[in-house]
Amino acid sequence: MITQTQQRKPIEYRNELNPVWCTGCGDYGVLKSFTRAFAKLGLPNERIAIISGIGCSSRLPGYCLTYGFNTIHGRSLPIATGLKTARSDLTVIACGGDGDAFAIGAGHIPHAIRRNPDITYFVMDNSCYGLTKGQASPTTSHEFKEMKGLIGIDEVPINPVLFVLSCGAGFIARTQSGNMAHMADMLTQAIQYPGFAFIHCLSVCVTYQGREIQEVLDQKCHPLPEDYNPSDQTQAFNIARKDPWALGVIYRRGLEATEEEPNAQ
Amino acid sequence: MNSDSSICETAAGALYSNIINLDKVKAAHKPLAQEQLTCEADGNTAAAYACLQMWRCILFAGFPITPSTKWLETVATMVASGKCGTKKVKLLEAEHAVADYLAGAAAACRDLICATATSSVGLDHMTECTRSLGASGLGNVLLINVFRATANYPLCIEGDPSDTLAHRDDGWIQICCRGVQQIYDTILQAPCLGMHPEILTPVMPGYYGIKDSHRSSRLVVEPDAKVHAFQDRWIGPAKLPGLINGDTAMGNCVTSKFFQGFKIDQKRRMERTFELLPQIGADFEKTFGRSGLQFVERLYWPEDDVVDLAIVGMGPDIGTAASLIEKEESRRGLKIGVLGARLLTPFPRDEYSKRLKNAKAVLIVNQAHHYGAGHLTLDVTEACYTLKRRPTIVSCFAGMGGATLSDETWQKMMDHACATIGKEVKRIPPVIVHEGEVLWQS
Ligand SMILES: Cc1ncc(C[n+]2csc(CCOP(=O)(O)OP(=O)(O)O)c2C)c(N)n1
Ligand code: SF4
Repeated sequence: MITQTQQRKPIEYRNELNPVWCTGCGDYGVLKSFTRAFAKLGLPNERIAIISGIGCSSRLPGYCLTYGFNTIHGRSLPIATGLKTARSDLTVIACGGDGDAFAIGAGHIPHAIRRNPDITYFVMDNSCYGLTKGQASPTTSHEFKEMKGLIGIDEVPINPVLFVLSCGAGFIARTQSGNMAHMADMLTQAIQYPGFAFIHCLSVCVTYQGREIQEVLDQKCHPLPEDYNPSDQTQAFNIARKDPWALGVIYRRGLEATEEEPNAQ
Repeated sequence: MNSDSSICETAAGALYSNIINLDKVKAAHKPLAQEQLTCEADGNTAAAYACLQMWRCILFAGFPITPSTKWLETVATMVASGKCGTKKVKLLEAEHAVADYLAGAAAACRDLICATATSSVGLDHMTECTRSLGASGLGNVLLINVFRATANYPLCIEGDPSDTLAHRDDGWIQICCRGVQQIYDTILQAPCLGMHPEILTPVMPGYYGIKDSHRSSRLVVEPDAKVHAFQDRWIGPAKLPGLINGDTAMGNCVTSKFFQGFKIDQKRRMERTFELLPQIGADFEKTFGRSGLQFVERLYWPEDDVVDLAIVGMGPDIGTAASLIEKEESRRGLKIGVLGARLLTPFPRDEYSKRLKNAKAVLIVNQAHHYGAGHLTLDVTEACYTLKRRPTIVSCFAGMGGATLSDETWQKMMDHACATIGKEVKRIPPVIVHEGEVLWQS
């Protein structure tokens, strides 16, 4: 469990490098939310490690004044799990894109969830492979593939939240890259959760999805219903299946279950 | 694909019906070029055109990775436009899946070609399957490797053949291309080798990332009909349709007693390349009027093979070197020759010993990192081992990570090699040269 140690400023978690992302890319907001969450938790820089795969979004650790590195495409989870095992005192965050997570890296997700290390996995889902110039990823919708003439039109997209929920993840939240305060809040809660925590961040690739996508996200996204109970897995499954735009903590398994029966569903 | 009543018989006498009607596949092909065309294209586009023009090549699979992505994009765009008949393109979730997908598809019908292009860690990611495919007898898998330094630490997207050279033992025929036209021509000839009934070994043509994949120049695109006539002379219907247990080495679990037999068979098929490659190359030249497959390219080389200094390298940079030689010869008062490696695996040692028998020194330029003398150096040295008068071997590394080889770099390397001529030297330690400076000496 993380406890607040001292008052810190977000800027203290940024290094001097300027990101090479396109202007308007959702990854800028995510970077800011990371530093905000670290500051809010007052984490010492040397107690944080950010491990990413490969992709535009995976450049994020390179801009943070923390431990961390850009690893291999799709492999952030096993590397982060290894790191957490060797240095349990670190706050370990794995991050990357939807391709990194659900294409080449998909095989690692169920196993990371089974092992339930105390790490946070933050997926920036811009529904395409940004770095390799906008091909369809496993989360790209039919409509988008049709509109852009992308291959794989006949393939059903993955539902990230439903996927990790079915695998037994103990903490699942959804957020969006245009809402920094919300992202930082979700990340703070995920870091504090003592087990594998997954954040699905709906994000934007202005270059290959189009500049209007942030507006679409702002219009469509909405908070979870007020009476929503994140400890109720049935409700979580309903939201996961029916509402791809609901933001907030979708599922949070009670701590007793985490300690005694990590994958209780 | 349609059913056909033709029946194939296995050695054991079992009967299997042919599942794919090749005549119908051929009839469904839509030509890209009715007559010879000339256009501007980069290497990836040239490679894509060659694949699209083969009637047998109907299945494409891929996963994007720089610098090979444009091959996939070009193939996908052309197929989606409906201009290419019934060809299919699949974007898979990663390269290991691509290689597996190709193995499944190729096993289903050995008469049809299944193609992909990849690079660097993409090729590494396929390794488990490429090694199995190398042994499988599925010569109808075509893997275009766009050279890029392998490994992610540090990640560098420029052309460096360390990926292809790291896969020399996977069991594939590996051919290096230089320039857009040679890329196109090599890909048209590759299946003639791989699918030849005496070879049945997958082929991995490759070219330098960025330097060739992204650089445009003039490309002559041959009419599809002419391409088909050429390929049909070399690729006959497979004896067995595929998907027959035991017909490919894929999936066989053997004891050591039998393991070696598989390897010997693999080697025997691979080595048939030495005989068939020049024949296919000669037929290509006769048909299209451009030089076809060769063991080595004699870029600046005398008919009588008499040189003081031989330079051996590969890719577009060795072409640049050739353009410097005339001046260097008169400046140094030496006869200098330049050879460009084409067939990397199996390594044509006899060809090298034939060419290098009169050389006093051989300068070998390696562009991929190696902890020893260099991949190319080891093979060329071995080829020279049986020569009566062995030349001095001078090994240099230059252009690693796709770095430019400047004229000064070539001159420095030549200085280094020429300094050994006429001297008793036992061993010259390899050096790394960049921008005319020796950066490192072993
Ligand atoms: C083994 C391997 N295959 C392919 C690639 C090429 N590659 C780099 S990033 C990427 C996909 C990026 O998409 P995503 O993970 O969604 O991140 P984004 O760029 O959209 O942030 C691919 C296919 C690679 N680096 N390694
Ligand atoms: S290509 Fe897309 S994902 Fe990559 S930096 Fe640009 S906007 Fe962001």
